[in-house]
Amino acid sequence: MNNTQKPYPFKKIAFANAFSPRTEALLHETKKLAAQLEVEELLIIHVGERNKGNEDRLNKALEDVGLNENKYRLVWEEGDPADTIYEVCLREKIELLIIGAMRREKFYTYYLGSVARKLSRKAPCSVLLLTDPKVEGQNFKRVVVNGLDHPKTRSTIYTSLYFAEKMHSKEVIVIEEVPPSDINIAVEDDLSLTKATRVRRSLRKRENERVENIIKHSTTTDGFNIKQKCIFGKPGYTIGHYAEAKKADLLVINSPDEKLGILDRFFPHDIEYILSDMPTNVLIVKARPENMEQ
Amino acid sequence: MQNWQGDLGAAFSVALIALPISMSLAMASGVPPMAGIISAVVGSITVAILGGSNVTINGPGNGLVIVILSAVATLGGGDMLAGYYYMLAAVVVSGVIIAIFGFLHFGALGDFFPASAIQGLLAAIGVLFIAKQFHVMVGIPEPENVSNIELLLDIPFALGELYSALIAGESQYVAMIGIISLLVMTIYPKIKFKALHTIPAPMWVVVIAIGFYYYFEWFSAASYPIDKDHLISMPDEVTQSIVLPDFGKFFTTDFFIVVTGITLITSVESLLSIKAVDKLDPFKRRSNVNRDLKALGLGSVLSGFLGGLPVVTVIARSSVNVHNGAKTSASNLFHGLLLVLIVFLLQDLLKIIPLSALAGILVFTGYKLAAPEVFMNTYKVGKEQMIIFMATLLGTLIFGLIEGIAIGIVVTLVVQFFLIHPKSLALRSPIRPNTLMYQEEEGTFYIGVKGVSNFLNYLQLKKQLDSVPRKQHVILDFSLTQFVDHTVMEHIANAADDFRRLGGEFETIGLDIHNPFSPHPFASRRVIRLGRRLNPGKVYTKRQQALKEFAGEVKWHFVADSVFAFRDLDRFPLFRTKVIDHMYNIMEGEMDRIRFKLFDIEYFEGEFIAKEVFRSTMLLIHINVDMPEFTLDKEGVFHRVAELVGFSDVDIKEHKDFSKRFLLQGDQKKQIRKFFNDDLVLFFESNPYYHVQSDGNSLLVFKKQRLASISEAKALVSFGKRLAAHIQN
Repeated sequence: MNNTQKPYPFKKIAFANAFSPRTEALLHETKKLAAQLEVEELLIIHVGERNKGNEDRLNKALEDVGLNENKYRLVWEEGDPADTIYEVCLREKIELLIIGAMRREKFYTYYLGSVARKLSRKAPCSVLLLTDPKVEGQNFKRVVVNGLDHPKTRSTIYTSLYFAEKMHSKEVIVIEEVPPSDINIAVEDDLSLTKATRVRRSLRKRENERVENIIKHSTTTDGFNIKQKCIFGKPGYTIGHYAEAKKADLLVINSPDEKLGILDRFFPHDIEYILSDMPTNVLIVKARPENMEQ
Repeated sequence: MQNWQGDLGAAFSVALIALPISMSLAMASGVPPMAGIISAVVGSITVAILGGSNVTINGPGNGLVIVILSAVATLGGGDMLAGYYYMLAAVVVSGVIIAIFGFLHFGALGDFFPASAIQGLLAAIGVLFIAKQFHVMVGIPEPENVSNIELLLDIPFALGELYSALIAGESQYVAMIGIISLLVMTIYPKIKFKALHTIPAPMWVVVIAIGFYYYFEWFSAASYPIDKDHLISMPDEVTQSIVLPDFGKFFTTDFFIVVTGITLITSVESLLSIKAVDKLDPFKRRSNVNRDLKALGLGSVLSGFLGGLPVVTVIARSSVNVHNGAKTSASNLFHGLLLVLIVFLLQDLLKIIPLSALAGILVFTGYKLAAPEVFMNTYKVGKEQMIIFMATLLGTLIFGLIEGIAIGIVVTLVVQFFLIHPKSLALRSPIRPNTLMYQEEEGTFYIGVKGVSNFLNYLQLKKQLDSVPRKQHVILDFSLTQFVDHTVMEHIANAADDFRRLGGEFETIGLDIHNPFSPHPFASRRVIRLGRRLNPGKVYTKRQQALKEFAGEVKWHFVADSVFAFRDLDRFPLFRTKVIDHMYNIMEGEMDRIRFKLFDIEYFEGEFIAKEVFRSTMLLIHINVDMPEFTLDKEGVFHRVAELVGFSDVDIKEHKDFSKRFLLQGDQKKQIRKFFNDDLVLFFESNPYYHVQSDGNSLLVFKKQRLASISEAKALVSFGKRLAAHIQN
């Protein structure tokens, strides 16, 4: 396996700014993340009209947070926000992009703005979506990561372990989602239930062994517990529901496979369930082709 | 076959009911009475041999009467006999479709319909029975070409006509037999005299009717006063009843509509019955519904080819079957064979039964389906259920069965749309997954439901529930749902019964945060928005009832209402960083001068839009002993809490294993080391893990960041009691 080009160590990260009541908290988060990840360069990307008012506003926000000009580089561009941010990430070889998610106040559910949605689907780098930015910074105590049987998964799990170590997490739970169709037995009576239960057990064993094999080869497993859980359910949905039920602080998933179209919004699959529910903070790991499994 | 005597006895009782009922249903359907018998014979033999259930009985069903009656009328275009042959073709085709349903595993379809719509449909069928059969029962010709509703409204006039006929001195023997039949059906269940119950009520009706005939034959000078038009019409030879279907209308729209109606009602009535009969099974077996569907389909095909009605699994006859000692499907088979025997031996007797006697049976059946209690019960579940029920009922009466059930579904959707917040959730919930299931530990399954849980997406939950072996422990968590509807509440109550019956455990959590729309245990419910006070007059959920009972057992005091004062919790390390919203379901009591308080609590981190809500069940123990402040934790879980209040790790050197397994933190290291003596360390090592915090005077004990189920709450209290006793000594 080629380990030379991992998605991490996130030495060059960027924060995509849009003015909102939560800009301050998000800047605090960015600052803390940059410190914890020991980044070499931090970019603040802002897309919009560059005028005196906006400039003063951003500078003041950065100052308030304590980000001095020598700690970051400001990239200010005009144009379509999603496309422009995409271009900047590509041009600057950004490894991790930080974006804020919004929350519906009345019902305590989060949602993504259209820009964040677009970027989480097609960004050229890994994306961290923060649902709940705090001035004192996140505590990524419990991290849930997907353990799908997919070429990108190995890279995603290693990234999550690296991130967990940097963030002093306490627990990383790898979820192996198995679509119920894999059981391939319709439970109709006691007999078929017994059979299905047996198949489930062997699938669980197979899945656990597969993921164990990945974890075994990781170098960063110190300081936190690693758990594995095999869940039978719709991949992409189940893990989000699990993260929400378990009050996880971070959900780490593979980047989506192909370009998703308008239909995917109405018939969501995989990443779309997570993007529309935003059960917690989400890290979408962009694997590079060279470190995917064959 | 070991139980063949028991099965044969049961089959005999069932056959005695099936004979008159099958004939009456056929008569009400506008087809020859033998069509009902053929359906019972063919259906029971086919399903007994090939089906997947054990103690069910098959034959013609109540629900289909209305469909068949209108089918015969529309397909025949006024010619009832031609209509009958065309209808038989529809029975054959629908049989094929039902068998295909079985192969496609559509058995779960029976759970898809809103419970109140099904109730409304059944009530409508009851009303239609009364409307269609009342005139027959009293022997007054019904007005022609009128709607169902007009027919129903004509009943008082029919009675008036009967009255004036009696005043005029005409003997009304037809009405007499009909009303005696109705009286027998009504009074029979109330008579306790055992010998009378050896023959079922419908058979008594037949016996009385035959006795009436022989009275005139043997004792009276007058001849039999009932005209041939008012008697059952039977061919001279029973075998002549067997006729072939006519596929002549196969490609017409009418035919298609009839097939749809027969298919829908046959499968839904059968699936509902199978589920209900499974609950009566003496051996607690689970029926294979898909296999049953295949057999039912084949039964309908054969029955249709022989001139019979569609084959349905019927609940009333099945329960008589079970109550008379049936244990295997052999009784279904015997019942079919006995019917053949009876019909061949008694064919001459059957011909003298007045139609009004059978109509009496049907009017009674109709009354049972549409009795005032049915309306009352629905109203008790909630006003919104009453709207759905009435819409389905009226829709069925005015437009027909399929239209009625469609109206029921649409009205349910509209009603729920108004009740669900936010609306976007209501829109997207039908097409999204909403369940999560995983094994928490060996033998315990956690099933979580999210968002909206209603009849539309219940199948997802059902699939998860079905895949758990019934002997296991299920914890069903609704705390992430915004809305749970009546249909789901009813289904999960059934599932809970199922688990308990088969030796498993089934606990529901998270429903305490919802407000039901009525005090009924199956009422729909909607989440109470954060910060709002719980409704004080609220009805207890099962969990709350169980907590109350538990409180009674240990002589504690239980209050379900929310409390907003938390002075005794503020000093615990956990709540220095979190804000308590409210606590509820509080259980308080004392033991050996130690005060205990078990409660559910909702607390949050952050403010306003960044608010993260937690729910948990905790035990607070006031001990009259000075303790150091500390937190005891399994490595990891609540680590940060202690860090934030400035606690540091405390190692107990003499107990390496304990220090490895537990994370003990606090300021006063010396006192803590003294407090955690050998005894206490051993206590923690030998007991299940709980998170324990001390604020100096009291202990706070809890396990998970979710509400505890009843068994978990009991385990928590038991642990707390032992811990407190240990510390005090």
